[in-house]
Amino acid sequence: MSGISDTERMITLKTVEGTLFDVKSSIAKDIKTVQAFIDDSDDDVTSPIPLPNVFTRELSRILDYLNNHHRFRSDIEKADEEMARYDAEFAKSMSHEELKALILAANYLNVKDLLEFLNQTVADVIQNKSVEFVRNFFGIENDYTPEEEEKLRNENEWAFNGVEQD
Amino acid sequence: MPWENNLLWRPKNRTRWYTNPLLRPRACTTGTRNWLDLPYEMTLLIMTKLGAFHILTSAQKVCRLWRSISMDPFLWRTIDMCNLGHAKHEAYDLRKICRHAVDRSRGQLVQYFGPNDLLNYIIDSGCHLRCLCLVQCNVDWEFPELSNMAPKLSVLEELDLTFCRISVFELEAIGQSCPLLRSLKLRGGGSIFGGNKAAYIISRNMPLLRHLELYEDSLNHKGLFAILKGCPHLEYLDLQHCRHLKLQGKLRRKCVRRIKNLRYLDESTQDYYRFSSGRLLKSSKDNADILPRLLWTSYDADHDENENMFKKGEGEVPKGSTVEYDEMQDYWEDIDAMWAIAKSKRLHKGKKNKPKGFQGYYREKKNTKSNEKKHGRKTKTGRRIEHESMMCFEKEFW
Repeated sequence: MSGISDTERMITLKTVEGTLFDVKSSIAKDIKTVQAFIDDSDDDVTSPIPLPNVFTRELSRILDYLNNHHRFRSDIEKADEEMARYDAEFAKSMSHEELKALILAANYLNVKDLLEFLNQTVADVIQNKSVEFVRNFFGIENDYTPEEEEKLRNENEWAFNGVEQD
Repeated sequence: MPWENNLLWRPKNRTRWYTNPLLRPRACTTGTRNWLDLPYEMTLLIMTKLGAFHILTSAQKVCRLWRSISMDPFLWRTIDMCNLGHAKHEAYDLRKICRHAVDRSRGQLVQYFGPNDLLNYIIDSGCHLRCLCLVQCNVDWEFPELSNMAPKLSVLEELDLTFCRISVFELEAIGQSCPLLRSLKLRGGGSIFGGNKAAYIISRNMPLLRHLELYEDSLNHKGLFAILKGCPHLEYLDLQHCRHLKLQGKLRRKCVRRIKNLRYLDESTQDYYRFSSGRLLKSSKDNADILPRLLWTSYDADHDENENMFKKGEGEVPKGSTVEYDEMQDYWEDIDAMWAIAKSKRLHKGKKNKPKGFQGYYREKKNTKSNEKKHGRKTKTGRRIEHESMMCFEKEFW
């Protein structure tokens, strides 16, 4: 395999809606699910690769992210700053639903970097927040019975300084 | 394609199901904002990012599922209690939380960043630590007897002793009982060790080192030579704020050639050098303000940084004055001899009978002295004898 044909080759991805995306094979390498598909078919992919669990909106964002990161990485001088700025903007521009959908899509496509980044984003949001906020954010109902909650509170009292002294 | 349709198959008689959320119709995903249907691993990963403190104080109280997830030992492979010295956390007893986290890990703890007085507890609970970062976590600076614990840390690969007060013997004990040590961060060691001691210990006992940070160490060119010789695998070397070190001439060329990533701050000119794969990356005063960066960054962050930042380099290595260090071989012989003697002294501290090597050494030394007196000329036997005795000690020791 020569490097030249590698960079020139495009791979076509097909989402649930039937939208087709053309992706450079160097970027497709980061998408492990697609890469596995290519490896299985002996590098001879002519027809579009179907992605039955990924929607157009998520895929376009993921490819956007990967393209940008690929570009940053090729230029080392300002790579870190630009990448950090881009990541911050990327995180800001997402609503909660989009974030969740992206996590699911990234999980399916097995994009390690993006998944790390998204999980970190979620963790950053709920860090230092109260339990109530976390429940609201995740849309989780409190399924503890009052007795259990009481028990949990007692269990956690050890964590506080000077509770015994009061 | 027919198989494609197969994957898109959905049960028609049910509106919600939980086997694979990815297969759910779009309307359902957007309609509710319930994150409980994230795959188990995803929630686990998010919790991993949250860190021990936040899991124990808030995340596990959210719901039953999250509580059961928070019991997963995988989550507790890394316990990072650094960067928690804020006033906000003062209400909590970090030590108790940390102890609880160690309990939950059920012996799976691999990476530990936190207060040093819990180290004993961790080792006793049967964890095989691979990555250890000891910082003073808003407590006093006292340090447990590390030399006693070192034998139990035999699989340790990464060690960060930031501003920890350890003695020369403890560092040596670590070096001898952790043969797998790959990364060592020894910041602020200059005031504790003094001279080239730390450098010599490292060069003698840690041959597998790949990542070494000697921030504010007091080593000079001899120490650096010793390190370069003793640690052939070294890839990353941080020599910032080493006031007694002047990196010039042959030494600099050797460093740049041998070490992929080198960080060095020239005290006299305030120039900050960062070398990568034999090439100088940046050299300007602007970069000097990177120095007081957060010291307690985790190893992963550093590692990623290294890999991403130093892919390519441009520019040329500035040529310094040409000071030759051909006498390094002599230094090395001296170091070896000193080392052997110090070792045997310590070994045979309490014993009445001196080891054979010692006796031989003294006897021969006496002889040579008398010979010298007799013949009035210097002999070269002294050095040879030193070597013999050293080998003798080495044999006994190992």
